[in-house]
Amino acid sequence: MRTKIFLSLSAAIAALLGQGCCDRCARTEGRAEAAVTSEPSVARALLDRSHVTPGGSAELGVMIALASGWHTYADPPGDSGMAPILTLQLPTGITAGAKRLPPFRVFKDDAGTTHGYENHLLIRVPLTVDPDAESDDIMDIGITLDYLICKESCVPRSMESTLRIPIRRDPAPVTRQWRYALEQGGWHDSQDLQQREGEKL
Amino acid sequence: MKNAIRTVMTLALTLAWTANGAPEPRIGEPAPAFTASDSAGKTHSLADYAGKLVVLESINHECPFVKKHYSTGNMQKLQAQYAEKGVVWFSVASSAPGKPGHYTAELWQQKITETASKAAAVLLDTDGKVGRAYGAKTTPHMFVIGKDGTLLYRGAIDSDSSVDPKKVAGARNYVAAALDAALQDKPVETAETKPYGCSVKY
Repeated sequence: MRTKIFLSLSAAIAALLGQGCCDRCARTEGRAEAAVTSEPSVARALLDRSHVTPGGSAELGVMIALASGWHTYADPPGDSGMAPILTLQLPTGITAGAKRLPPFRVFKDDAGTTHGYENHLLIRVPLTVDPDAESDDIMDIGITLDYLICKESCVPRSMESTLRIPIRRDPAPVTRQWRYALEQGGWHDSQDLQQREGEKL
Repeated sequence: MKNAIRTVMTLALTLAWTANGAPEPRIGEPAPAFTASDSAGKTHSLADYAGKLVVLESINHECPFVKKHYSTGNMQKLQAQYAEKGVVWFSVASSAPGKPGHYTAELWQQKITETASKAAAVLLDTDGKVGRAYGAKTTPHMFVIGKDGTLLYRGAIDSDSSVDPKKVAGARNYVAAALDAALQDKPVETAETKPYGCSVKY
């Protein structure tokens, strides 16, 4: 029951914050999530730019937002817990690289040491677009994320979503929404963000 | 140089400690002795079961990894299958009072009925002594003790570390493999694996 509620909620949130969301509303995403759900976690998918170009590259992200006191796990998770399992259904013309997780926090208790995240976690996956991909087409990436969150007890969570990716001839810069997601999702010290901060967005 | 590396590796192995400061039990060495009461009020000591194969299964019904094995009937099936072959199976409940998965003896008796557990007993390890002595990190975390009292297997129940009940059937069960080998007096091929699950709520 809880899972069903969560799925419909996350679908609604994905619809609210997904494609076509302007940079301004992206800035309020954290508050929007907090406002519409009392769930311990919400996950949603996003792309680092408005569209991709044939032969170009981009990044797909999955942001997990966790309520206070909850944490989720790194890959590998340490002595207990579970690394997020991300499954992508890729259309012909897009290939994906290995998923990346940001630097983790170390949690220690009597049972051992685990590695994980609190508040927000942005999982990143590099995408490459085939040079022969047709402009003006739209490609759908199916995304399934299974992850475990724990406070005192642990609860498995699942997200299913489709990311619609337009293909255009003109290159698109990374969005402010993506930069914000990097900062929020644990990548604030990463070189990617430092470089991107130097770019004129 | 080789000797130096060997010394460092030996030291690293020696320095694996359990949460209570005792060294973790090693495969082929005597399993830590314990005495604990079960949910029916009976006391069990490991020494009582000399000459029998003993399984210890760290348990917490609030944990999704444990639920995976009980909702599919996988754990109960293993318990029943090996009880028939004379194996003594203890579920070890190490959740401390106030922590998830800590139940009174009465509630444990109910849980045993509800889940149709076929374990010989659920040991109420509320002070975590048994779990800590074995270095139990997760629920489930499995230990197989030989007829001579040495540790034959420690680690995961199987090869699928997800919470997905659909994957239980296709997973390689390490405990069944260890028990099958031990029942035929053969060495256990995979004697140690990385356990998976929720942390034990000591």
